[in-house]
Amino acid sequence: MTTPPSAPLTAPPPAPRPAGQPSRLQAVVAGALALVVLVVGVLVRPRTPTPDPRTTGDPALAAALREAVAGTPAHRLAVAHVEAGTATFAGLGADESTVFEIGSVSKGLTGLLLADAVERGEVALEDPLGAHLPLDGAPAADVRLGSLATHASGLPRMPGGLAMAARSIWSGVSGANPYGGYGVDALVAAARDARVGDPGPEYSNLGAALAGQALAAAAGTAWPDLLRARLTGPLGMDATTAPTRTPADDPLLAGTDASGRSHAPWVMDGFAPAGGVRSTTGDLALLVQALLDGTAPGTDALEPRADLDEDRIGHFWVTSTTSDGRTVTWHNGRTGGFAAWVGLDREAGRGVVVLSDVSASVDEVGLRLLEEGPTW
Amino acid sequence: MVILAWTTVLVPLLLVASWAWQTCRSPERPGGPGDRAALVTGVAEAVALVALARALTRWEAVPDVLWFALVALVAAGVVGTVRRWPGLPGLDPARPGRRRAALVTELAVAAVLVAVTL
Repeated sequence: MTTPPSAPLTAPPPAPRPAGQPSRLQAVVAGALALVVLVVGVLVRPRTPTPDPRTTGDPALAAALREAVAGTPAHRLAVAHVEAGTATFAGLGADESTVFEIGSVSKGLTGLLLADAVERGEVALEDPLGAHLPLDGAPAADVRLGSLATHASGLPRMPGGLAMAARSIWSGVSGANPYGGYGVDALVAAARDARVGDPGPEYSNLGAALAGQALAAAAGTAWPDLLRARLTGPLGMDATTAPTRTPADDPLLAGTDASGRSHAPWVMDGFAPAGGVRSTTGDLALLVQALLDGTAPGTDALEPRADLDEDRIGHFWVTSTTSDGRTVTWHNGRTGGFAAWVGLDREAGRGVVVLSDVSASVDEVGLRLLEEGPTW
Repeated sequence: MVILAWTTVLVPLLLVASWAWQTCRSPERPGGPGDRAALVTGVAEAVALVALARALTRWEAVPDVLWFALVALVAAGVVGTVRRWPGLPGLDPARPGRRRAALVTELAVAAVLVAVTL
């Protein structure tokens, strides 16, 4: 006779865990860390800026601005519409006194200073660059002032060399100012080393900066002072500056790129004539009005003088024909954290300024507001 | 510009995916990290790649899902790292000095990259 096995008094030892299978503690730790990664990833995700919900100025123009900017990375914007001697302002989170970087619209101001200097007899468009800057017989010394203003000098877009390349890369990675500490002497030294290629159209920040510094040298002053004395001062553009160092109590907005990442202000020295100006729609409306009236110093800079791809170009000011056959004279600008557009329909006697604190083109916004009549 | 935006996100995505695959597959398979130092530097490099992608990519030009794919891959890699941790020595006993130096260097580089891109 057999007896059934008695029931065990204790539970059997657990089976050994198969190799590679995590313990409960491991699973908890892994899950917790993965959760932390996911939460941090959501918190720091890139965010394309959206227009500020606050509205300033003329309600109809503000509504037109909000509609025009839909789909464009943008946050705070200010706009001015100038027509028949009247400036109308509006903004989204900004107004006509808000200070923005205007980037390469600065080239347009340099173009006005060039035309003004020619009218004064201080320089000639055929002057070689070496007549005004110490280029020591380098190839860039033979470049003509006028060709700099039409991007036909053969100079490259930017100075070559490892230092400038490193600045650009560092700026891209860190959001730093790629032009910080790049003075007039460094600019002239870069020009001495610059290759001068075919004089076909090639957009050149280097050329624009050299043109402005040549004008300053011819006038015996610094470029920001020249700008103040001959253009912004006479027009009453008191909020327009070209600081060579970040000012104390800086009034500038904190600009971002189109992914919402903050970028340091682009304070420039040597390159200021190419992109170092800050302004407001209030000030630029004064400029636009004076350009439409023909009373701005150097208004002749707007007149087209050469081809620039499919467009024409004066002293840095580009003239384009729109799809509906109208002629628009304009310049745009971008920095690490800002975008700008200034355009004029001279036949219609109308002009528009758009300033944004996001580095994403506002050209289409400006063109749209310029095309629309004051019945927004 | 759009091609550049895709490149600056897809290259890190592929690199992080490769790392996540290495850490998540079975520890019995040949290859993969040989010590815990390699696990730590793998996480650090993946995080640095994501930080670089965040800084350099024009995110308005690519779908948001690519960002979340990057983050999900890092999370998967972290899970694989924890899973492999108990079975590995702290430093490869064959060359502990070199491994220690590599660990410190790679962690420092990754920390600097993350700091400047934030």
